[in-house]
Amino acid sequence: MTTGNSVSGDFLVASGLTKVFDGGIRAVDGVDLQIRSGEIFALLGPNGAGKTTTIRMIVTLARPTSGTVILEDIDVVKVPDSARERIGYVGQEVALDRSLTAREHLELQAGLYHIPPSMQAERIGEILDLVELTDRADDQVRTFSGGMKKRLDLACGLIHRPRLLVLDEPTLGLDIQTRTRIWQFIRTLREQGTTILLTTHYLEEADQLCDRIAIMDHGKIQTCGTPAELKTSVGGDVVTLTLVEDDARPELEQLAADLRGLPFIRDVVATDRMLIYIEPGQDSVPKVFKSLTDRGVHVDRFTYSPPSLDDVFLKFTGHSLRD
Amino acid sequence: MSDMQEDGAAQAPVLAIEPGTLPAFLQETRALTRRWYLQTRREHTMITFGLIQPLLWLLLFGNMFAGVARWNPGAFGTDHYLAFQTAGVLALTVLGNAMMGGIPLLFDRETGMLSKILVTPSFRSSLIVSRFIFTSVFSLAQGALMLLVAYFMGVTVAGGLPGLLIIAWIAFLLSVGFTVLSMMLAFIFPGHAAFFAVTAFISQPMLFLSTALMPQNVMPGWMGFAVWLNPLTHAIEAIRNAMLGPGISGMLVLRSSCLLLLFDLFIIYKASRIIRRGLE
Repeated sequence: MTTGNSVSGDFLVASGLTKVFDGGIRAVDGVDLQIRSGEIFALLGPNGAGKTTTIRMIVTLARPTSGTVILEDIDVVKVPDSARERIGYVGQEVALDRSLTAREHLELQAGLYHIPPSMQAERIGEILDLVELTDRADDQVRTFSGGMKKRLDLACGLIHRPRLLVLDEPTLGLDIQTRTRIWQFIRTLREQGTTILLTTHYLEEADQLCDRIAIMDHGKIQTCGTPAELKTSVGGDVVTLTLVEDDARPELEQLAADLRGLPFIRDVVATDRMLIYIEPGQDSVPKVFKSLTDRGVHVDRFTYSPPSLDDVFLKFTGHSLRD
Repeated sequence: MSDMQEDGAAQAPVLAIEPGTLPAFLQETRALTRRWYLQTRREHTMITFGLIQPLLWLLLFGNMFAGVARWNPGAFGTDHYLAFQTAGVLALTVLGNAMMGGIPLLFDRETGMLSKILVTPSFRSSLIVSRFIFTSVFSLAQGALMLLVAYFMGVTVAGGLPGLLIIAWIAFLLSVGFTVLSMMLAFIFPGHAAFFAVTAFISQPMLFLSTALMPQNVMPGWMGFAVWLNPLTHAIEAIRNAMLGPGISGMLVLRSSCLLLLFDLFIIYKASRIIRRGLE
């Protein structure tokens, strides 16, 4: 029953995608994306990076200034209606009509997606079960909690069984419990074969939920890969040190410059703490300690960890996403 | 979930009616019109006040001015001011409903519901058509209620059944132009505050520069041209002729129909690009 993927295995390919707004602002600047069938793909970046504009072009809500979007065998820009049949979209803000019930929302969506009336009741029942709103199906949305509204909003984008589900900041502003629930829900959809493209500015979300990540900043894709690949690209593991306050201790900046020259150290970033990126290997950590002791520096606390996505972000954009 | 998912066919899209076809258009329009109906039915206050307001015109204004027609029945064409004024209030009600036609689109733009509709493979025109259907039926029901109330106050439709059909036809032509105008304004202004300010501002001179409350021959001469330019006047004149007689004037109905049609086409021409851009 599936339409099958293109030869390259790419499900959605965006090439040179660019959006210049009337004021001359280049919100999206030559974005290339290859999304594979059945994966959860994230656009990670700060607010204003161009993530929302990128996906608005993919879901046919905005027309690219230049560039193409191909979904399987469909040119999304040229044949938007065919693309719309295969795409489900859930925006950043919950978009519901307060005076309608959950069921009536889904009935409206079913009408707009041309589901034959004879099949609607069954399909709507399935979706209500999936988002666990069956009990409240006939209550007006004005009586719903924030989490219930978000689930109904997601349900509205699923009524036609889209092959690609596009979610703009799916867990923005939600409490931890609801967020975990939405993640679980997204994973369930992926297991059922739906390909998912989402935007987020939460590192944990990109790291724990997504198969592949594109880091976006200033309208451009800075780097792309699996969380593990991206972390490896930072180079080596990270030793984070808090040093003992000591008058005899050298200035941090100078110490950092000094350490950078050592062969088993790749890079050193000194802020209030000291981050030392080391060559992978068992003897690197003891060597770091020895060189510190040799320089009369005493360590108060230290952690040794693989690099985080924020380290990746820092490397490719020059600033931390947490700032 | 059903077995379908387990055998790997979860991705089979729901068997759908072909988009871009007439059955698809009818299905979309029906679903959207139903939404406007449900939405309005649940806004009790809006319905109540929307229904009461034109009745207040009849009961309060109509009775306050009851004397003026008796002083000069020649100018009014009747000595029963209420009978004269009913045509005006009917047209005014249709205008008021039409001017509200764009409001749901305005709020849908603000809440993101519009985006939700625009990512579906539906005709953009089904959204517009659904607003027409809803606004027209709502106006028709309201007009019928007003004629019923007026009947109990001694006002009858002299034109009989043909007269009623003419009233419905003219009301429809009036409704189309102003519904489109309202939808155009909904896409021009960035938010609802500006929209409400402007529509309120437009409605007032429309009322006073028409023959809704006074016949043109008792107004100062300089108002004449503005009154003649006002589409509301032409709707009122045709409706009033159907209500007061004597006899239905085919010429008058034809003239009003042509002028209102011209107005509608002008508005549609002006609005289509703006609305199409808003729905892109």
